[in-house]
Amino acid sequence: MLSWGDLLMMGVACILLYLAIKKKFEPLLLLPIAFGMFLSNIPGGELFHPSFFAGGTVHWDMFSHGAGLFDYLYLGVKLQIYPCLIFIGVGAMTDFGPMLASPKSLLLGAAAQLGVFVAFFLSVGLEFTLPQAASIGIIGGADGPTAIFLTSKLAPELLGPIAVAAYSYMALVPVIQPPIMRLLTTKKERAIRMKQMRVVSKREKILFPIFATGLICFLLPAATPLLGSLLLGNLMRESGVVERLSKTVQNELMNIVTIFLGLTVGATATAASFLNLQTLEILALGVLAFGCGTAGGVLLAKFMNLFSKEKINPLIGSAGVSAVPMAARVSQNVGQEEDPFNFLLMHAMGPNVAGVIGSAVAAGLMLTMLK
Amino acid sequence: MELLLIDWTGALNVAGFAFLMVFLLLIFIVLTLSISGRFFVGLEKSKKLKLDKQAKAVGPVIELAESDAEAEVISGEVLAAISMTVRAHFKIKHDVESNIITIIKGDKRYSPWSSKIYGLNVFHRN
Repeated sequence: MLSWGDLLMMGVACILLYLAIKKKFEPLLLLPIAFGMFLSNIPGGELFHPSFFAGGTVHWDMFSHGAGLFDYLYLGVKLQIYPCLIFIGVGAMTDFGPMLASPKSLLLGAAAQLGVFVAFFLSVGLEFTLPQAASIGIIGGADGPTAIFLTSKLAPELLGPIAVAAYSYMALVPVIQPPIMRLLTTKKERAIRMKQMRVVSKREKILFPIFATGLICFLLPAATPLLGSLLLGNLMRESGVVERLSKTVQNELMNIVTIFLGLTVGATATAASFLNLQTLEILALGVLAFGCGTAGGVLLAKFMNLFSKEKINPLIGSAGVSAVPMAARVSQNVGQEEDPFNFLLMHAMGPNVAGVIGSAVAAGLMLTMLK
Repeated sequence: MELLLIDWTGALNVAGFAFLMVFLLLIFIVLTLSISGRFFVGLEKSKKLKLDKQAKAVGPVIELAESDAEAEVISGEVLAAISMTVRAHFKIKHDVESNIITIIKGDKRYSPWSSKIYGLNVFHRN
């Protein structure tokens, strides 16, 4: 029987389709999410059964009683397969050169995780449980696969609204960040020109993923699935001897997994899980997380300038929010408003890719403490 | 009153500890990368010095090898600028044309298609 809730969810799905197609808000993920939402709210479709995954576990015995297509595909989310496969592709598309040339940018990536913890703290104030608050907070990391990875483990009942919030706000980075960046910096600071970065050798780029995997995953085992996948992809790219594999993970594998992930995450957004006050709170906290993350990176860059001989343009601090490469482009654009010949893009890529590592580390830490 | 029932201490502990740990871990990685960065920069410098010495000892042949070694460390932006300049040079540049106009009388080669013209050009003389 078609209920008002189902109709309303289909309406929400249509709005998201409009945002994805017409406004081009992260269409690669928002379109499958929206359509998955649309399909799973059609009564009698039997594509997805939330009861198969109730209580945070997979009820394998129920699969023999009429499981739908999305039930099988959702296993990739539930068993943390899809986020890791996407991160292999992300690693293969990432150049860690700017970060290696200026290791200080890792600190800016860390500072941009401020949004994660502010949103976490405020979520607790809104009576979310600690695992739910951690899942909401990670939206501030601006990293879709990390958000889905952590939420599917800590708060799978919130996966639908959190995924929609995370990907929508990633698309809104060019709208959310610039006012905060202008508010926290002076014209003189925005016009700072940074010194040319050193050239990073091929050997360094090959050794970095091996070393970083050993170090970070040894110290923080919970981050191994995400960071290990990210750095595997990066090693495939930098080694130069597995060109076919690198091309596959960047293209075919990522595209296939994106389709499955988007459809199944959208399918979890049923009327019962989406149409409530919690969803509005999650959307509000998501914006706050983004804003605080931007502010955190900019403020740390300003603080570092007090002690550093070589001045850092504070605008690159905002790129620590790991929406790669959009946040770096925003830093470049805002910088060029003051000085059209100031090219900050490569400098901003350092904190941008460092933010990917920072958000994965933050997710690993919260998983360790709250699981 | 409901706010007082919330476990603020637990939340603060988790948030504070996790944020601190993110910073400490990344500071550790920064220090390690800074040290290894200096090592690799030193390695490149000593390689360059070695090639400089060989160049001085041997001469032009080794100079070419030295420029090859230097080419390994040319950054992507420099390569992009060079390739764009070369392309612009060959694309935009075109032959200089002379202003001399020469009229060259061409041969009238017979072909079946132009046979009518030959008939028209025959002048009968009396």
